[in-house]
Amino acid sequence: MTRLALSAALALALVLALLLGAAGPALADEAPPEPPATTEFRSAPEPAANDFEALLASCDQKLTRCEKENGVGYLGAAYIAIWVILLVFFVATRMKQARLVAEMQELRARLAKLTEERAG
Amino acid sequence: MSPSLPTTAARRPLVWMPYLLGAGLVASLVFVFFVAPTELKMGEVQRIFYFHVASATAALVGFIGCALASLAYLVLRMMRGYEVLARVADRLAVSFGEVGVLFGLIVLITGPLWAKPAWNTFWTWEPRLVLMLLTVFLFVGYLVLRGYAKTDDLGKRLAAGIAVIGGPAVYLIHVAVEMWGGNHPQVMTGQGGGLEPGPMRTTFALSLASLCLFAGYLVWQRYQHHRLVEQVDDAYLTLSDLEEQP
Repeated sequence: MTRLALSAALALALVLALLLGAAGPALADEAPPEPPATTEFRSAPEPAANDFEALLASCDQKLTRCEKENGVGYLGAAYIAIWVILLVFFVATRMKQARLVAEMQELRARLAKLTEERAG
Repeated sequence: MSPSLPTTAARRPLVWMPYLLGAGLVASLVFVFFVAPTELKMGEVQRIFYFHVASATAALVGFIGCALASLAYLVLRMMRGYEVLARVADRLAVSFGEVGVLFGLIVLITGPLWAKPAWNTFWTWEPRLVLMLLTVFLFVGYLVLRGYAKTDDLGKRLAAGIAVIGGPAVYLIHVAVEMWGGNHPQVMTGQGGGLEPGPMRTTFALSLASLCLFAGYLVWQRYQHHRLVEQVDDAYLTLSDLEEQP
């Protein structure tokens, strides 16, 4: 039963991977062209104070970035979400574990008492 | 049978671990906001990248760990004399699965929060996003089935089968943009300039290391938790056996 389930699972996974691999490029050919994916992240340069041309270019870039500055709220929300999720998970696990340890200690005490009674 | 507690002494060497890992995470956060420069085109919101990609890496490692441990469980449970190892593999699979889903959830929350200012939409049905969503659903399904099965052998086997199927999905997520297109940034895996050397790379390396180590610690915590649950169940069984004896 397990062997059959295991073989079926592996075969299905393999077939799915092959199908997706074969169909993918064909589907991509028919799709309308998309904007290219970003492949690099570069820091914004800080021009020298006497380089007016660079200062003007920097202003243009800053203006473009300003259109996206509303992203600061999303940035804050993202980092708050990350920390809340991690903290809740960590604290919940620790609390459950502490409760289990206490339960286990109580069970051990009960077992010891029962064994003692039986022996006596 | 006398149930034994995992002793506090056994856990003592790792008591300092959460503090160290917490300090690592805080240091990463300081680097993200105060050391890493503002990105040229995307601006401030690009700072989501550091924890988003690190979380995705932790999630994918969790899914691979779950799939491999499930495979090990399915194989070991059929071999005579390896029952203990099979239980270890089963516990490991659940622990990896839980942590994978946790970080997958973080990716699915931070991704749209980055997409809105960058692409002007919270969600787009591009291959990598869809595959990630489906993979997280698949492993949530695994956890639900595994939690429902508890000690039932058939349920455990079926859940393990689902996890094994989820393994190849991780590879597909990795190659999704190259194979099927999409405008998901390809900074780490693409052929472009990549991440700028200096503070950007340092910040990313620190975030990746601290989040992955924290994920590893969470897997260990969850493993200990599942071991304790099994021991408590065993202790109840022993107690009821003793109480029923005349």
